[in-house]
Amino acid sequence: MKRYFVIAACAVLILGCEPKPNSSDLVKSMVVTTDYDNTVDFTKYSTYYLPMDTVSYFNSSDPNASDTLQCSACTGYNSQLGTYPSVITSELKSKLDLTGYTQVGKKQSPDLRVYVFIVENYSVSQSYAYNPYGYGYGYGYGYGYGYGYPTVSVSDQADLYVEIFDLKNLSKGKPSLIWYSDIGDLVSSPDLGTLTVNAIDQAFKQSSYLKK
Amino acid sequence: MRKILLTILLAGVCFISGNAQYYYDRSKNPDKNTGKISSPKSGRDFDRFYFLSWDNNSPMSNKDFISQSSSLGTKLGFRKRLNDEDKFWVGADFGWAVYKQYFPTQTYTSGVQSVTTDLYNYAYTYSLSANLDYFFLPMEKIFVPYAGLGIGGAYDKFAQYYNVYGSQSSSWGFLVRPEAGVLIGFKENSPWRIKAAFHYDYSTNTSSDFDYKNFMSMGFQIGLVKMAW
Repeated sequence: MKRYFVIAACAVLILGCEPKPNSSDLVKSMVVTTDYDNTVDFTKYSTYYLPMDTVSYFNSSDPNASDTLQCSACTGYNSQLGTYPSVITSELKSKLDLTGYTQVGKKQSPDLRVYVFIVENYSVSQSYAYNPYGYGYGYGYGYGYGYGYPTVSVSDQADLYVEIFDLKNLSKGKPSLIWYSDIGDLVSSPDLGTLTVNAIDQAFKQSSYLKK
Repeated sequence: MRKILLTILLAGVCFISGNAQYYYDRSKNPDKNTGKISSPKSGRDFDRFYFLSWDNNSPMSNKDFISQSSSLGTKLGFRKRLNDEDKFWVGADFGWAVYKQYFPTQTYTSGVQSVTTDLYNYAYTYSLSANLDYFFLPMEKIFVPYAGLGIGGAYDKFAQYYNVYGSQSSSWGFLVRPEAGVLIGFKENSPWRIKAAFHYDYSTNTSSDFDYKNFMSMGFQIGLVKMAW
């Protein structure tokens, strides 16, 4: 009888070892982070430039680490994303138009430049910083609770970054980063298109200062 | 002279063997147990027991992180009678509990940064303690209340999960656990019993990441006891 008692005890102890949340529950919505330069008056901008057919893409396993344009007609690395870049840029345009800014062409002297890119398989704790204009402020994770750098529970993970640069007031001759949003995870999302649109909406919702 | 010496030696051997018989099996000499074991036992003289309990706990510290009670926990332990008195029993407990709480999606703002996510906060606690229990009634009774104190170590891990991301920290601490409860037998001097007890845990485990300065909880355990001899 004692043997059964010990077996039952061990079973209970082992079964109880560190349960975690159900992974399908965890990815029901994306994590949306936004940050901005609080010295900037966003009401002084009027126009923005956003390429509608391109989203830059960086992958740590990409043999060619340079920018890879992603759109339905592109043939670059991971081009199977199909229309997904268009879903992103369309929603961004919709939200930016609602803020009162007007989309213009690259040669029409826009006040703002919206830069969109996806980063896949880079270590979260390593933090990713990219600035097409050569400098800006680097950023990573942390999420503001003072909880330190997070870990990632999956082997493949990707984040969508949206950055807004100030072309109107150059700093040392170069545009400066005045707003960014980090949205993730894209890879584990059960409904990538819908959840990405919802996340972009949330990014603008929590950035009420983004208005003309 | 030689006959006298042999007679004394024989008498001595008989005396020693008689005493040895008495100390070898005290249960056969109930009159000698008066004042020690409270009353002669009708069955086995159990001098140790093992138990496995289902442990329910409510966190008492840092309720901003987790305030919900936990029903996910067990305690496994044993006790051995300290001496012929049925009052004091010593032993050890191993216990674990998992606390968890879900925070629906909301936006957290700190300075210029805002984050929107839902959160799953978890605390995993493990403890190992040395225990001393005082039983107020003889162990062969059906209903035996007790009070006890456990002192030992605790290992706590605090974790926060959001989407595929997560943060965690862990720490060791010193544990004190006062406890009061009862053993309920199915009959007099029952080999199987029910254990029901309340306990209060205080441990010095800290986590600056999750704002824990200690970890306190109140718990109720109910389980099965196997008496042994």
